[in-house]
Amino acid sequence: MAVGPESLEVRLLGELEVLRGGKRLALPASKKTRALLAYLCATGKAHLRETLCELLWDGPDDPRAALRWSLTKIRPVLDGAKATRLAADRDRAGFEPHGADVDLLAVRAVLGAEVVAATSIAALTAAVGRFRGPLAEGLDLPGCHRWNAWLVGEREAARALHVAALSSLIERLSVAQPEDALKHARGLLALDPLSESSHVAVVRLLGALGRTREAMDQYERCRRILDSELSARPSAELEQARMALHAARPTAVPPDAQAVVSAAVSAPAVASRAVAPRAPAALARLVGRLPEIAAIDSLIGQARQGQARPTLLVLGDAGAGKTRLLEELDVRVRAAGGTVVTGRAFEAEMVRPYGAWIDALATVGGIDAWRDGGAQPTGDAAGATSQHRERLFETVAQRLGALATAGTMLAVVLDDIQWLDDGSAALLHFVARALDGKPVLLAIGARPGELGDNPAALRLVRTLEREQRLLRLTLSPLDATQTAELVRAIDPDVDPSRVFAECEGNPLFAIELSRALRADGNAASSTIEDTIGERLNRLDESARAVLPWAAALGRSFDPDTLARTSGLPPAGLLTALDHLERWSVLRAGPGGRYDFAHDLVRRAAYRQMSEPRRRLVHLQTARALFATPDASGALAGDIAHHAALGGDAELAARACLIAAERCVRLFAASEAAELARRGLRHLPTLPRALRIQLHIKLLHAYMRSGTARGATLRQIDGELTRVVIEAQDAGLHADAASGLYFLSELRFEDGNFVGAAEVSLRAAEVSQHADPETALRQITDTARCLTLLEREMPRAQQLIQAAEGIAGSGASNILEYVWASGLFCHFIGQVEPAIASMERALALARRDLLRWEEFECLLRLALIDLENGRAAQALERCGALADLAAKMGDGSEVSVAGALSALARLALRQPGAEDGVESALRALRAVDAKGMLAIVLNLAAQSDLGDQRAASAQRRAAEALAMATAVNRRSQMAISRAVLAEVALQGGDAATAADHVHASTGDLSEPLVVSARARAAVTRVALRLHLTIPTPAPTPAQAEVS
Amino acid sequence: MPYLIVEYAFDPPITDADNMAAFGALKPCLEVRGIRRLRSYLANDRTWGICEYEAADAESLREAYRTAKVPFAKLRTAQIFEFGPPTL
Repeated sequence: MAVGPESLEVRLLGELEVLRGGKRLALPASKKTRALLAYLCATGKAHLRETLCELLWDGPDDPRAALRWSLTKIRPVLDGAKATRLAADRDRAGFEPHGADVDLLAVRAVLGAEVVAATSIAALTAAVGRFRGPLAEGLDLPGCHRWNAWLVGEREAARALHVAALSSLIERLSVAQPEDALKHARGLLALDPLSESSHVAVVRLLGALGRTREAMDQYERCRRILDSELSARPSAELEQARMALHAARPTAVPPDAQAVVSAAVSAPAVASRAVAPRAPAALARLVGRLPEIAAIDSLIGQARQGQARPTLLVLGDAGAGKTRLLEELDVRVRAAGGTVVTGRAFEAEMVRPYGAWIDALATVGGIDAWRDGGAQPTGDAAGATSQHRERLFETVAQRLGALATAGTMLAVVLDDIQWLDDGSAALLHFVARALDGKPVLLAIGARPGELGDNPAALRLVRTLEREQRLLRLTLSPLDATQTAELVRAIDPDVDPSRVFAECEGNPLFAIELSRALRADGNAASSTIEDTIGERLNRLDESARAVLPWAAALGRSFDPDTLARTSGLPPAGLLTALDHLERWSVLRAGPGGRYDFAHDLVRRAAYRQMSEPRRRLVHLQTARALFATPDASGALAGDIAHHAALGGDAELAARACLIAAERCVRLFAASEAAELARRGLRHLPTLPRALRIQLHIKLLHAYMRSGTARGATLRQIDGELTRVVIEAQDAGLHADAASGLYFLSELRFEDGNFVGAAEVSLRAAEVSQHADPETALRQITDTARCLTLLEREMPRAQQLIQAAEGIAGSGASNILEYVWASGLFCHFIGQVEPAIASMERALALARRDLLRWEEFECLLRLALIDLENGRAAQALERCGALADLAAKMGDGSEVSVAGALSALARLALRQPGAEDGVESALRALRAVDAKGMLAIVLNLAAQSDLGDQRAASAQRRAAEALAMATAVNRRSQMAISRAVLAEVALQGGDAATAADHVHASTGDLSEPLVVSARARAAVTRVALRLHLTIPTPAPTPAQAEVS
Repeated sequence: MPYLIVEYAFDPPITDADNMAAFGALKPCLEVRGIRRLRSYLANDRTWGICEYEAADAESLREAYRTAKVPFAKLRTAQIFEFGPPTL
């Protein structure tokens, strides 16, 4: 940095110093003011004054005044003649560098996590030179907890940067400049004298330089520290380094020693702060498995060439080395320049839909539908759900396919599929088929004994096998020689024959037993879990305090979640996590998450808790997760799991409901059903009103999962009927009404169209305290809603008939019923009855001063008039419509009234009518009324056709089609296609015309999907094209009558 | 999918019971139109609130409110406006 008279340098890495023009400035005497100065410079941004007050003056005095005073003291230190670096206003204060050099910020820029490896040695050396001591040394402020918490975290982060820089320098200089590497290794050791791996690096570098005696002294020093400070014995690495000293040549560093040195000083090893029982290399040693690796290499080769290859299934019992082999695959794919996405299933979350996939894809950006909690299916039918699910699967397949293009292969690795949820299994099968021709390799791991307990996973394996898309690799136990090799890597002094005799070739057991024997020569556990348990018992207290919470989470976790659930202070927690990682209890994964090194380790940690303690841990975990903001409901499955194990039935039931509803949104049908069933099991002990409310909702969620069929559906039907009656007994009318509504939905789903209405009424009637009025309102509301939207018209028809059955002649006084009847008549082309009903509905709406209802009825009457050539009558109605719209305020009514009026004027051939239509269309677009826009555009297009204005008709019909499609108005879609067909036919393009007709035939072949008017429009043009239009099957109501 | 904001004014302030009733009435009307409610805010004095939605068009949302007889002050098509990462 160039030093001018105005240049400012802020040194935070060590004792706080500020230099202007190279000269040290006197700093404010107040320690808090200096702390504030350090904080502002370290964060380099503006902060709210309240935040700064809470940081340093969180007491009874006047914090804002204290802050003001401190800022006046800081200003002369930071501001120069030309630069105002302390930016402060009424609300905020912050540091703006304006060319100032802040050591911490400069070091962060050089040593950002991803760039250390790419940073030049000179830049790294300069960065290391900036560390003079701990961040803001001497500025600890007892009593300022927030400040201290921040300072501890920042010091730790700065220290990690220092360690990373030193580690990188040691690694890169160890061969060419071992003297310099040694200097940095000693620096690293000074940072943490208890780091055994740093001692190892110093020993090896001294050995490589031929300074054997110093190396032996270093070894002795390390051994004494281990003994006195930690009561631990030297690790295998330290012993190996000592033994290597005798082979080291003083004049040159032999190639194998260079490799040893490089390996010994790899970054993770030197970053350790506690004595690790083994060198925490990225991966454990892989022993044997040569045929399996050959098979993997062959598959990678096939995948890279885009050749057909099977999905790899690695089978093995717990501890057999499946995960390690899949990690080897990961390494080999990456070495071949490929991309790898990995996920795993967890026993505790078999109802977390797509859990393994969500984790796997999170590393490549995730999938929107999962991020925001899933799309909302608009119907409840299983068919619709499956259609949505397929779309979701296609999105995933496309995302994966995009990762495997332009010569880059992709490997998708999912481990522990014996715990895979149903959705994930289906998705895996879909992906296997969809990515057949792409350079993609799928690899999965499973425990064969537990695979049979998971029907979804078993089905997946069998299907892949039947399709000849599966290659099984079953891991056999290691032989005595291989076991001995594994044991020697842990500790050469451990007797391999004893280990082999006990572990019977299970690699994980062999590793754990070797560690146990190294720590205690008489370790005598007979099972792998006991052996692991004993190792866990030897951990220090802080690490053991974390274990139950981590084990109870049951899956991989991030430190924030663990801090929330355990309530342990973050600083201590991070240290404990680090310790657990060094001891190979936990392993760090992508995204800063941790997981147990093996599921058996998790299980052993979990089993160490007493039953009452487990309940407490789960209960606290559930409540902490419940208090976490979670708009998408992604945590609900976990909450339900922990609340159930913690004995909180209410929370468990509520969480099951949220999780089930989320699964419905994610099209994870069987998981939704399972969660609903679990929720139902928690109900018996709840207070009556809450139980009824949750019971109805959980049954609804079960129903919406789309998995219930036949007897199960009838069982839900009976249960829902009973609980609706109970709700009525309890005076819970709103819940009873919801239940009735769900019941009618369920009947409809079951194909019992009459029953959809009738039986829900019977449910009301069988109760002594039945409320038929509520039921009738529900039915007529639903009927009107469906007819207005022209959705599920057969169901609407049945609901109208059911309402007639209940209300008898009184039905003509129920607005919703009369309105629905009018809409239905209009839909089926019965013009006069439609007008009569709509006139009656209009009168009822006016009687009850219901403005929107009045508007809608009047609008419909005007529309019927327009469609049937009664333009003058329509125009008259439009006048009333416009008056009404003017009174309705903010909405689309004025634009809608204007549009119909413009159409009526067009039909009456009034001057300027065409301009009026265009203007009305613009207004409708502005208020974003797509449904009405489609209607008006179609009417205008049909008018254009009559006036031989083909181009205008085509333009309007095309827009109408787009609008109608966006809001799924099937009748308007058919009408616009009929117009487009007519235009094509007029232009002599019969083929295009036929295409437009064919696009509508699907809807026309179903009963009551499109209106009679739409059917007539399509039929008219079809006849001219000599095409046959399918006759729809009779509606359920027609079938019932016949 | 258009992003929509519905604004409410309550005089007198809305009660929990009224709030629940309004959402109960709205729910099926929204569902049948495929409208997704994203989140809602209610002012602490309960006289003002907004809801955020995703819907095929604004008219579907207006229709759902009218159908459910839930009054609203304003309904606007909007866009999410990002002006930087969240601050401390």
